[in-house]
Amino acid sequence: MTQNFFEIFQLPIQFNINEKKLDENYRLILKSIHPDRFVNATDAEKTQSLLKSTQINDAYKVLKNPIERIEYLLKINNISPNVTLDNNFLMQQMEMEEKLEGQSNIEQLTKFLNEITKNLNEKFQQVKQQLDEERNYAAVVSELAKIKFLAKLNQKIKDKSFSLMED
Amino acid sequence: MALLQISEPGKGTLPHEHRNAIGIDLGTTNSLVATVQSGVAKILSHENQNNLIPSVVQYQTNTILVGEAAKLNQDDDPVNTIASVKRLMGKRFSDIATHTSSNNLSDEKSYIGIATKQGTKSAVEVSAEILKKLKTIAEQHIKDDILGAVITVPAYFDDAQRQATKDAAKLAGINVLRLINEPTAAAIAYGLDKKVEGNYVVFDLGGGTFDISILRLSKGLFEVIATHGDTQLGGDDFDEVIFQWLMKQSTHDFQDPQLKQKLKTLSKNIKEKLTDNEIVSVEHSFNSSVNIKTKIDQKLFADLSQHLIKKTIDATKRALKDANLTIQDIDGIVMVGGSTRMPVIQKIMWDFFKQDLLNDINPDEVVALGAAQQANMLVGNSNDEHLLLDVIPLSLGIETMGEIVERIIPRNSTLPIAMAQEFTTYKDGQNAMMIHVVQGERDLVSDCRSLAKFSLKGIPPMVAGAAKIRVTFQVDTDGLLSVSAQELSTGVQASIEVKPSYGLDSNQIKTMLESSFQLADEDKENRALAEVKVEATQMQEMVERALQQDQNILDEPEIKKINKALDQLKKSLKNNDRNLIHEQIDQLNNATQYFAQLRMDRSIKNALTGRDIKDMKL
Repeated sequence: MTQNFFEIFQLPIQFNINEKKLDENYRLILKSIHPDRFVNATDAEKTQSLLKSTQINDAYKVLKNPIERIEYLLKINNISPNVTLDNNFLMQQMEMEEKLEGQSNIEQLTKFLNEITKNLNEKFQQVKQQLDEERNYAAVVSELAKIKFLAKLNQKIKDKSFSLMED
Repeated sequence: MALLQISEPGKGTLPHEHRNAIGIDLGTTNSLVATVQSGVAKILSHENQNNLIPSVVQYQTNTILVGEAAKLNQDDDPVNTIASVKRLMGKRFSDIATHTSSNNLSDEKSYIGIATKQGTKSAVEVSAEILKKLKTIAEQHIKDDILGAVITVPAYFDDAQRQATKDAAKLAGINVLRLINEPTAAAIAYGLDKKVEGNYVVFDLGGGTFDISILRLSKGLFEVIATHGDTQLGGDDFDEVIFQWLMKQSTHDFQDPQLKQKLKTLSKNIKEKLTDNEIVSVEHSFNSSVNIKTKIDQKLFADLSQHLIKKTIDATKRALKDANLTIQDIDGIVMVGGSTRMPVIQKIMWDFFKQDLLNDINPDEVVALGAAQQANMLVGNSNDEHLLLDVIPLSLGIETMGEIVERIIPRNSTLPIAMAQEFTTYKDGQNAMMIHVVQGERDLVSDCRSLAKFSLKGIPPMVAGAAKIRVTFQVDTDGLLSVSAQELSTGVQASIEVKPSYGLDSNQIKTMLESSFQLADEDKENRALAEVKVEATQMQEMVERALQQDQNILDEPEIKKINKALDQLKKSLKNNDRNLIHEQIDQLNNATQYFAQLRMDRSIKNALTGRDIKDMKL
């Protein structure tokens, strides 16, 4: 398949996507090529159905996830995602990790989670601007590293809340 | 038929084209077989009496009994009578914690041996006996050819367990259309696939396994978005709770195997009585000296089973968390498995979700009914458009330096999925390497389940680090892994030898298959020839039909290539040479790969174009 992931789902090549259209097209495509539709077919068709469905699943997974979507956009624009983080953000990271460490009740964690989620959403808005309007891919590289950190922290807070609730 | 379905989606098949397919619930305690007749799924019963076939196999000196007959002998011949064999599927001896079973188990390295009067048997062979029985029952009801079966497995089953199930079907001579997850089958039986949208919990507590799955349904697409469970938790454990409690009510130690078995049977009876009764009185004399007189109520039963109930609730919470959902997001709870009849379980689920449970289809039959519906759809009988998308239940990883697992396919990824990984050689001229694939969520190899060791051979000799070997891990729609490898700079396809850590390798299966044919060699050959001829003819028809429809997407040389392969196949059909026909089938498959690929691409395009037209009409 020489088309890129966006083209497969007939979406414009940009960060901001119509998720409904992505879901809808994913469904329509899989319904026509999924191995379940080829139970009585020749081995050649079974193989091709498996391979193509695998590609479609992969493409869908990448576009569905905003972080992977950014990485993919950088990749198809030949931008290397390697970056040295600025000291400022490194300090912030450590502060946030320490903050998580210190929190031990659900209310605190929920508040922290909301804060991080808000922060993350702002970053996505910023990236959207940089990618789709300014086409400034290089600038996105350092933002991506920050976004990845925030997303991981977000998950850590959720995990911690969950284990607190379980006890 | 699948070819027609692509070009004419939504068109049902003609009545005379009805194809027979069955659904099989291969359970720990009981197994069932079902089919769709006149649009309705129904259980096929043994001699029109029993829907539930006990998953019990008794090996006698010259015969093998399966089902009710074997179960009746369980108390008298516990050593040769094998029950709950599903628990041993895809397992090694070291996997089973101090097993309390009365069977003689032995360590056969990659699988567990079960000593019987007919020699040592594997779980795959025992399961194959159950499947043969189900197949026979189906054949008694369905006079025509049966195309194949959908067999259900717990959503939590790993690769080794799924492979073992497929191997058992192979031994039983059953063509597996698809392995599907039990909860998904249950959801199909409840018609949830016909709803527009929603998140559903399927709570499945069977005889020996427990699964909790969360399914998301949207516009005819059915996804298992999270699954948790315990392959060692089920109704048997609740029997055990009562068994342990009963032991304490008596001064006798119940060491005698027969007496112990009788106490187990009594425990099960008490548990079943507790389904319809608030309190059950027990008065039983095993012999003149051993008597038990006591009583148990719901409260006591709930207290005794507290640790088991907690496990189910914990798994439910985890599944919700994995799915990123809360209790409020759940639109329905499907209760599956005979053990969900227990009032203790119904109450705990109601208390947790605060909504009515879907439990009006017989919980013992619901999985088989759904499997039959899925089988019916797969062979092309229904114009139902739903599509099942399952996920891989456990992450797949490979062993790296220091026994650390590198995750290559994370769990809950939608199937089919593939991941490619590049490796290099560390010695000059190195022409082989070994890749160890494990399944599980932990970081250390020893904490995960070893699936298989793949030896790559035939790497072209180069200096260390120069060879780039791309290894592709493909997991298909049954959740089964296959591995392929290619050296990138030369394009050489490395050959792969698989040493499964669990179960039987393909040679063992082949030997078993061959020895199971009790036909004379000539008959065997004739049957095999007839089968391959049918396969060849079907294939020829399918390719010809595809050419008729879509010849225009191919260029001249491609068409010629396919026609040539078709002619050779037709010619080979005139000779009664089985190997030659096989070879020509393979040739035709190779010749049509590109054609199939183009057709697939075109299907994608058509699928989306169709949508645009619909949009315009709106």
